[in-house]
Amino acid sequence: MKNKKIKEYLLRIPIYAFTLLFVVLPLVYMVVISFLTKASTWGFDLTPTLDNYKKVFEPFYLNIFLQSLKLALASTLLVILIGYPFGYFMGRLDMKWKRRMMMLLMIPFWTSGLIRLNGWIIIFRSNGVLDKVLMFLGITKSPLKLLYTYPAVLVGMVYFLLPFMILSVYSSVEKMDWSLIEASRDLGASKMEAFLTVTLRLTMPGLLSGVVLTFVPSMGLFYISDILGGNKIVLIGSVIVEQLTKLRNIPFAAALSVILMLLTTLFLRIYKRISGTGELEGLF
Amino acid sequence: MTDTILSLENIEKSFDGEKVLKNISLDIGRGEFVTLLGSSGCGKTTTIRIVAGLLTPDSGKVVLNGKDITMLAPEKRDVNTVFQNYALFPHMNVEKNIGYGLKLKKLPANEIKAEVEKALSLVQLEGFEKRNPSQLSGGQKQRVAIARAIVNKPSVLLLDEPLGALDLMLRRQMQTELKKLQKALGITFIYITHDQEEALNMSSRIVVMRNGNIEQIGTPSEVYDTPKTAFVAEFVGGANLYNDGKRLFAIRSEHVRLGVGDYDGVVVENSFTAGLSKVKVRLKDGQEITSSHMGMNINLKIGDEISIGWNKNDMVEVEGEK
Amino acid sequence: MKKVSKAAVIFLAVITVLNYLPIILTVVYSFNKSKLSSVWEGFSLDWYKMLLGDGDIKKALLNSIILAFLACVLALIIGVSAALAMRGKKLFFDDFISNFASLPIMIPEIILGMVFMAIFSYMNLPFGFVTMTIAHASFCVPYVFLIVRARLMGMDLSLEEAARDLGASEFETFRDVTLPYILPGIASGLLLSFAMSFDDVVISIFTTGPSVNTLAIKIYTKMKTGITPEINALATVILVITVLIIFISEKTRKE
Repeated sequence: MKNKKIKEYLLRIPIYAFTLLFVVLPLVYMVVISFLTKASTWGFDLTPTLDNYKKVFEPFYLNIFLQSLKLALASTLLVILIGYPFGYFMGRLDMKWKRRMMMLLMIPFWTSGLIRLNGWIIIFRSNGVLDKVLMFLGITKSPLKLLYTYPAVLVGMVYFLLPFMILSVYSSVEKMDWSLIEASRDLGASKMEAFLTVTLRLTMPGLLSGVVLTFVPSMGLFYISDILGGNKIVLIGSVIVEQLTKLRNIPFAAALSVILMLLTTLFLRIYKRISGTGELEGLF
Repeated sequence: MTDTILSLENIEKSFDGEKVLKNISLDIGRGEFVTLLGSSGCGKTTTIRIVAGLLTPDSGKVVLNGKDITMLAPEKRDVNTVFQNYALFPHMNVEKNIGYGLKLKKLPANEIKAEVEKALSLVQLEGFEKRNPSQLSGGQKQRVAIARAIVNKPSVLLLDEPLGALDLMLRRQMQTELKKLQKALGITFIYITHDQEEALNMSSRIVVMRNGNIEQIGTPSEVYDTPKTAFVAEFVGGANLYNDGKRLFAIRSEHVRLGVGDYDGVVVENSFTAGLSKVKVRLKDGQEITSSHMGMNINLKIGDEISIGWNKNDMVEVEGEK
Repeated sequence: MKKVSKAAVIFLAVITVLNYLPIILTVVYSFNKSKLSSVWEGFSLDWYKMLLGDGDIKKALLNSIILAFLACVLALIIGVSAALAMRGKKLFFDDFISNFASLPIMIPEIILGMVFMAIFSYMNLPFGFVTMTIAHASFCVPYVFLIVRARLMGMDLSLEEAARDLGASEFETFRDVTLPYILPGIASGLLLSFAMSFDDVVISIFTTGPSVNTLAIKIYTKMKTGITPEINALATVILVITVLIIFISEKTRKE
């Protein structure tokens, strides 16, 4: 009996040590330096200041925050519009097709995001595949120059994040008891009413966790806008990178990260409140 | 008892401050088929988990074959369990499941194989060696679970509601088989159930439990015919309880005559199922007595006035409250 | 009862095709003779030859594999031990620790990258394999931990009790019953960890040292400077490997 207790303490050591040292401590450190002053060269002085946060609220940076937020919201919305029906219909297929669709989803899911984005460059670039097709069909007369535009970034984001939504919606559709829908139809609900009152409610956990899995990363996915948006679409992620690597302003980068972190935890909190659990459907 | 194999001495156990077992003492003889009978929460499962070593009692002693095994680890006890939900290892086939205990004892492979086959034929599952648990029906899983336990030839076999998940027909059949198996092997069985019919059918002795206490220990006929307490009378025999103003008596419903007797009342319920008709009568003092007899229903309507009666020797005085 | 309408099937098909379009184009253009991806000049294996001769790419690939392997080992030790420890009675700090341990996969990667860069330079750790392994482990640990924990939660306790009852010691029970039961969870956690580490760009950029380049970083820098057909060839190779791994894991899972 006593042995068991000791064993349980020993098994906890790795996660406690790792988490405290490499997750909690770095995050605390980030918060601390966000209140310090940038040194003239690299690093920071120990003089406390609120300047970094004041700077975040300067119109220039505030604007970038809003732009990032807007892009994240737009991507999430599109991902819901495509991913929810996809996951739902997939859940209604028979066993054989479910397996096949799963396989088809898994291949892009497991393939590096960068490699998948590469294909969009081929499509979007000036005189690329899309331009060729459009001009061949006579819809446009000259190349659209879609690469390095806002729509290109949006498409890239949606493309990148869609599998997460599909998988989490699908897994909650899978768990759903279909006889409940029959019951609601039996009780007089129309197809639409049954969907709204039963299906949607029962798949809400999947939808919500899909939203978390889409929205949260989209706030920081700077390299999609880097690759498909060039230097034209500046998002908060890119600003943090720039401050850190080019301008070497660690305290300001930290302040931006703290704000971004607050936004995401706020979002996760809301999710937790609505869904009642912290678990993310579909992945765990 | 001359040849005691297992004794529980003043066992007590609490979970989160709540006493689940209150001073349980019990002697079980070699080769007995003892049933612990009670509704859920009475402490019967806790009792056999203590015997199996999966729980340690707060106080008291477990003695097996004359040795105190109270603090012994479960794997070191000469006791095996048939779990309620079978607990078959999903990643092992039938043969490996059954042979697991023997393999741990480092028996040579050919001996294990022979023993497994013997056990499989005992539970009538020859040819199922290579099946996976997921490919078995509930009844088959149950047989594998039994084979897995008896192959180790334990001194005592514990069975935790082993037939609980099976349908009625299969249950009846398995009851007979288990009884035969126990006779053939001569192993002491401790059997848990909440089904009094099962207990009456199979056991050599029944231990009726309630709220962490033993209410009565006795042979099926002792428990059925001469219940000690009101609870036993109702739970085991479904008997009527009648209070004559001073004392409490149990009267079996088949002993209650309709139409003649010293007690007047009104019919309040009248049913006929499976060849047995039951009439419930409310007496003048408000007590309700049920009479049952084989055969067709007598022409009685609810609200009819009727006299009922019984022989004085069919009244068994019991302790407790109605 | 469950019938899928024609419209639904078309929808599923169209989205799936769109999902694959960029991948297929990448494969097609990897065989293009032209240096410009907009024109098709005929079939050629030139870019694959070039890839084979590129020492930098090979070195980056090796680095990626070593790094993912190290991160997986750390995640395996930390994640599995934690899942096992926290299965029984909970200690006061368990919730706090498991919440923070799962944080790295909940927050935008950029924050993690920023934080690691800052703290590692403060700790004076040499930037390179050490810093990258720690950083990658931070997001691999939660995958293994959460998946194995979920699997343990679904495990019937009586399986282990049955093993003890049949004569297995605590260690034998773990070896014969618990471990085989959680093995699929460990495998999928590690597979996910490996893939995530292999693909990671953001955190790698912040924690890499002057001498260590991973394949993902290499691809990223090349893509930023404009597409080269060599990338198409490289992407195709990685794609083929990915498909093979998925097939093998599906096959083994069926058995």
